[in-house]
Amino acid sequence: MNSHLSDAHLIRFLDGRLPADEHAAIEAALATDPALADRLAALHVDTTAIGPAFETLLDNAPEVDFASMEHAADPPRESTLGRGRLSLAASLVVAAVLGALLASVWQEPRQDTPRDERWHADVVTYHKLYVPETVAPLEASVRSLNSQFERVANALSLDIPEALGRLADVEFKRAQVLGFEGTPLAHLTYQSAAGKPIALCFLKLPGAGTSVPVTSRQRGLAAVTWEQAGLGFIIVGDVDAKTLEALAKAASEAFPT
Amino acid sequence: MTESVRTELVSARLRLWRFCLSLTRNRASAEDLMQSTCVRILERAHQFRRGTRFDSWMFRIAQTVWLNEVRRDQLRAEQSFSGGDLDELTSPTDPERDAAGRDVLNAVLSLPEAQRVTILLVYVEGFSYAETAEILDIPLGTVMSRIGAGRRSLARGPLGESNGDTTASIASAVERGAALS
Repeated sequence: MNSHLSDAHLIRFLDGRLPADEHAAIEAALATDPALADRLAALHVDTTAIGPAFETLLDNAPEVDFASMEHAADPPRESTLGRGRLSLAASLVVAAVLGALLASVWQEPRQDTPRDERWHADVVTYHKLYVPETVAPLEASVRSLNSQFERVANALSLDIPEALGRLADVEFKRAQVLGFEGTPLAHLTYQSAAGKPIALCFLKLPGAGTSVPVTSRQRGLAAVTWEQAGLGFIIVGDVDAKTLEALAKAASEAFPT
Repeated sequence: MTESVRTELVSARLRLWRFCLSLTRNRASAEDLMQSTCVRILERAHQFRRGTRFDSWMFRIAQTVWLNEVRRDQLRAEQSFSGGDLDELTSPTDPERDAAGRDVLNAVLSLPEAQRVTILLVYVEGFSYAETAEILDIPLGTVMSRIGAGRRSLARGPLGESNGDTTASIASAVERGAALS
């Protein structure tokens, strides 16, 4: 019996990372110890297949302007945003500033903040990280749109109006499921004609009634929030308030009142 | 930022992307994580010690950024994953992707985060157990127990061979192990 051998020892054996003499000893013991063979079988996987399978994740890596990265490490001498082209270098600078900003927000005590304000704030905080490059490469086919809507619908146990996939003046990019304090949250991403990311989010809110849409500025972004049919909504983006209000109206009309 | 760090980052860019995707299992979060990691690497370029492995340092920073964001960002922590999400993670330009490979990828990505990232570093990135422990800032024993738990789960899926002849299966493993040593 070789019950004294640890799992770590057996893993090293299966991975060929044992000294030759220890490897040979286990190999010899296998012939006479069926329990050892069973333990090895329970740990045995074809690890040589894992690497090739993960090669697929190398596809579709986001484009990164590494040539401009040197500028990101140092304070910019001029406004990078003013050049009219938001390169990754610029977005990295923005992200660094935002990172410090967001860290300060996250460290604030939030226990006394009402739940609806907290989820609005979290959505806005999340959306602040989006840059045009985040959404530009996303291509939503009809097939993937249906599949994404189905996943969101299943997660929220809610019919998702197809009209949300064709709101006027914006291009639908993606629907995904996020979560807030244990409640599934629908996150639909759009891109404005000017390339700006816009997010429409909604979740089931116990006790939610019907409220008039309220337009506000939150963390430098325009936002419209409202409640309707037991759901809480927020639409947010770095666009003008009128554009966002029109989108909020179209989204609201897509849902039953 | 030193020129060498920039050069290393350019060369390791795709591996960093794969690491971020494997951690987050979500393209949008992976993009956020990759961007934040690049920022952190640039900020800390002066801390990188010549003669040490850049990829280990890069993955350690990515892991730290991810953990800090997970602790603080409830939205991201609660994102779910299902096999269907592979459509978003893999190339839509190659719909004929090998089905077995997709099953393997799905099985590994379905593991709990701690097991998933450890399996990735050892069996995809090729780090030693000790190097993996250093990257993840955990004891070596924890690395081995994570690998053990991950392997037990994977052995019951498409990567396992234990449903057939056990002896033949192990003999096959021994051959492969010997080839690695």
